[in-house]
Amino acid sequence: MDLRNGSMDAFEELYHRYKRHIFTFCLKLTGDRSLAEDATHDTFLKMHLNIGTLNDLSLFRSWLFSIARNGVFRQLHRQQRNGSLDEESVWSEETPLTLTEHNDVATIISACINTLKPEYKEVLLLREYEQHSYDEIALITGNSESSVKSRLFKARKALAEKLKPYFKD
Amino acid sequence: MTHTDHQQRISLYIDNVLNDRESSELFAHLAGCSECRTSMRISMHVRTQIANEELSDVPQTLDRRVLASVAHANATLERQTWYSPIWFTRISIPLPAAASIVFLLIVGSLLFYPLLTPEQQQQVKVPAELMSKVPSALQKAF
Repeated sequence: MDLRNGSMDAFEELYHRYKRHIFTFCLKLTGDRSLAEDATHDTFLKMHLNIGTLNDLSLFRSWLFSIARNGVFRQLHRQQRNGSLDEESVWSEETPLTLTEHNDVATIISACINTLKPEYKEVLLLREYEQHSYDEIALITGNSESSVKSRLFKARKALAEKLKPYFKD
Repeated sequence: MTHTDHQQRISLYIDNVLNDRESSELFAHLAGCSECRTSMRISMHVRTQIANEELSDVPQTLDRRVLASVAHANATLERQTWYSPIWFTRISIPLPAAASIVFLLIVGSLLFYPLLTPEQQQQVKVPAELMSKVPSALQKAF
């Protein structure tokens, strides 16, 4: 792989292929453009510097997302260091959305996803936006497959509860 | 199966990982449970909605920033390689091989040490055929 030899062309090709995926993932996860830009920048720089450590190139996509995910979580944990995380709660403490103000279902869904806690949001984003398989998500997040299934279930159930008023028969 | 079990299966069905029997059981439950039907409908709607959503565009300033950082990292690496003194370069000889080489050198020097003493050197006679091939300036040394 030319990238391992420091080829700028090879890097640019991969960067342009994955930049929107990584940026969107970081943006959805953080909800903050500035943080997402920093996380995307750091992800691709780390990719360039550490590509030699990746033995199986078929895992490149998962590896890249795991770099992005870890970077975002480091930033989020830094921000939340003073607060305590309630593992059982699916919703984030901050709920900036007043659903009744929105008429567009797409906006409501997007806003509801944004109010999920990052641990639940990440599995939903990786599954629904990027169509990663359970084992890929497990690899990216460092969790077991059963934990990934459980978090997906909780995230979907919580979303369904929140969205019920908009989906009356 | 409990109601929660069926709700878990809705999530698995959406991800297309249920087998035929499990799917049939789920649909049998859905026929009589409006709450699960709503959950299923909402989850399917969320999936479709997300699938139709466009990826966000990356600002050009970020493009420039990333490419500049990588070019800088490349230049730094190149400079480090260029100035690295040769004695800092690691030689990849596995430890057992390196130990064997050292051992052979020690044993070899012990075995051939007598040949290197002045008495032994005097006993060594160079054949005349070989001597003729040695430059005349060096023949005196023998």
